[in-house]
Amino acid sequence: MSFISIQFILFVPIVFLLYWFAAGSNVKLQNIVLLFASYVFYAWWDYKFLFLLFFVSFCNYLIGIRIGSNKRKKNIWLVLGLCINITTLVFFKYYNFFIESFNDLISLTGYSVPVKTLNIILPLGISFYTFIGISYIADIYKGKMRAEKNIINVLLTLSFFPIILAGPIQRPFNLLPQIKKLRIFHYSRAVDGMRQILWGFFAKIVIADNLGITVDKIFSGYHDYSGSMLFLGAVFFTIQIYADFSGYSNIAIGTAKLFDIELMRNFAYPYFSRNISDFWKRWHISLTTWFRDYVFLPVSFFLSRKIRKEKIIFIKTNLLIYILGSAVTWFLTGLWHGANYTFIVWGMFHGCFLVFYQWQRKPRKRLLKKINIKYNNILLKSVDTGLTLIVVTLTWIFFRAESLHKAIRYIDGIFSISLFSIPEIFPTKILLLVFIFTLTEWLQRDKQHALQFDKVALPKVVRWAVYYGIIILLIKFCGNQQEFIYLQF
Amino acid sequence: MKQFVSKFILFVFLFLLYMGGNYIVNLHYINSNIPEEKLNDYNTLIMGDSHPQMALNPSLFDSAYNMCQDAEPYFVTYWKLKKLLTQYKTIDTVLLGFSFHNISAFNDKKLNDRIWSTEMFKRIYPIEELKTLKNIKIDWLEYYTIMIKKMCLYPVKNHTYYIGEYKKSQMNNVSDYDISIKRHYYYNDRNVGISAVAIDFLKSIIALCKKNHIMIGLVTTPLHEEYIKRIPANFKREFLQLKHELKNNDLLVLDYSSIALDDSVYLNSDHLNESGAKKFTKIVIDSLQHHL
Repeated sequence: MSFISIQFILFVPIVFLLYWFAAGSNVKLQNIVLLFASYVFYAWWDYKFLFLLFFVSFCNYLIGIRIGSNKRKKNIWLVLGLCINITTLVFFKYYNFFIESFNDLISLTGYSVPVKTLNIILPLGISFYTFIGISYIADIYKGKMRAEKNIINVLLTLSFFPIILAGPIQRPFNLLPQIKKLRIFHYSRAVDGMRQILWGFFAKIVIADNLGITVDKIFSGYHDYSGSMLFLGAVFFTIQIYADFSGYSNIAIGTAKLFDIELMRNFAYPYFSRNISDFWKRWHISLTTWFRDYVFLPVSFFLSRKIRKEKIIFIKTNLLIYILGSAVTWFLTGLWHGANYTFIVWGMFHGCFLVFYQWQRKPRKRLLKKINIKYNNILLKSVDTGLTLIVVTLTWIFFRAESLHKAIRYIDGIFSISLFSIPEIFPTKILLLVFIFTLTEWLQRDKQHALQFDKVALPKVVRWAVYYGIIILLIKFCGNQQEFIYLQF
Repeated sequence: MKQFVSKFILFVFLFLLYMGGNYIVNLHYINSNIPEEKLNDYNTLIMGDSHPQMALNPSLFDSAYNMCQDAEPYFVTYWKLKKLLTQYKTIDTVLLGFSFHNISAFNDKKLNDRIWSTEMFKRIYPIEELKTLKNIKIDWLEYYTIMIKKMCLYPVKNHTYYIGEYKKSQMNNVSDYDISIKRHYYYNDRNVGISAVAIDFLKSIIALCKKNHIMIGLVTTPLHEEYIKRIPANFKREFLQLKHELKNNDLLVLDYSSIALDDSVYLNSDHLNESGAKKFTKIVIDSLQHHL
């Protein structure tokens, strides 16, 4: 079931009423209602993959118990758990990609190996629930949390319907304790959830889907457009992907709030970041922190134990460890997004920019001090933010393009003399809405989401008028629905 | 909890009230407004889909208005005419496009196929009689979405999206016959068959004109020979049969589908361009004068 469907709009109130009225005072019943709803929600897409979801969840449940109870063999159980999660993910998501890459590599030597690709359908949400599964067993292994004995709770942690399809990737040590205790209805939290859902719908339906039409047109016919139009296309995609994914996350987090469950924040106005490091602290936070905790830190820790020297080939060990850790992390981050070289290149670019940022941080600080420019200088802030946004925008081209070749041709098209011409398409109405969207986010940037109003500052009549205005825009613009971009991951 | 549910209900209720108010206002506009006042000046209406839309230039007639819209099926033309005849008493002649593809069952898919249905519903919501279409699949969800968008969000004075106009083009490329044939007569690579609904509505249009003492002429616009060659046999057979039946009922049928015209007057294999329309309109006017 898609978030942007009539089914979902009917589904949530039904689950809400069942949850609070039929199961309101019993935590077990609350969880059964949520688990049942989550499985119905998932089966709505394709019931055949429900078994896979159950299988992965059940394996994680059993392995979690084994790791928790068997201290001596916990390494073996952890490896087994990782194998189950990773093999499931790799088989469904990357099997064909690896086979094709292997065949291409062999063909370079002049030989051919008859390894055939398979007709595999990617189960929705697999990248998300396997990652939650890995978190679960890894955290038990590290002693961050105890293994959960109640199977319903574990099944629900891995399949909670607002997050099952595209996250935010929850940490079981954050979600499980909430699932284990009785949830009590909080008026203010539920209202805040409704507002967050509304803003999510606005971002998705009004902004992302309308920009998506122009973006599709530009990216599919990039050879026919001027440099300025291609640049505008890249800017539009930058806004589209943010509105799309932050919209999804807001709907997910808002929906969870209706059930008194607080999910991890996924976006913190990333395009207002001053540097690339800051950007990654604000963009897809749940994934970034996941890779930080389960890939970057373990790899860096491992390397720091292996490398004893202070410098290797004139490079400080700390920086070298950072470079290697980043390379592994960003390669995997790129690959996580999809079985295509475009994602890997996109990830590696970000890794390189992060390394560059770390490398220039201190010299830059010294330089600024020398020329007497304060770090908080408004002009410097604007230049930093602008440059970061340009870097992010250009790297999105790799993310959006169908192949590396097309991405390079697209960028080549931007940096031509026609970059300074007037763009062929200029959707004024949509741009006006984008401006309102951006302005609202800017004004509310210190809040969790853009519709988090201060009751005192804004009277009820104004607030309700804003809600009605958004709903009218939603109805007006609905009908051009495109699937959420992150559902394909 | 009670506070939340009651406030939510109040919020929804107020919004429904707002939408209901807009619906009533817009309904009033639809029922009371004359859609296009300029139509009062005309006594000939050119109706149908993109074929007559591009082939008949109304400025060459004494007093004609081309209100065709592309991809318009006969049931829409019927609803349009029904609505217009209640408001305009000056109309004495209707020229209706009549070609092979008009009786194709691909027209029946226009209220269900996503590519067409949104556009169709946007045009027909003030005049539709969808419930009378028993044998046609309708995307009701899409219909109500359009209906709510057009009627319930804010007051709009003009709801005449069903009135089209003459369209001209200077382009010339007749090599698209395979694409056009596929679109008109095939669906998922299978011959789509004859539409009984289209034929019924064609007859209804004729009956409606007769009832209102309006002269109706059926005009088959020129088609490129490569297009004609590729029309499936069942459509050719049914079209000829229907043409004879209508002629036998003393109806004016002007079939110029096979008229010899230079390739340069075609916009594509089944539409005329501007110079083609100029030539063809004169032929039709002469023919009308001859028959009347």
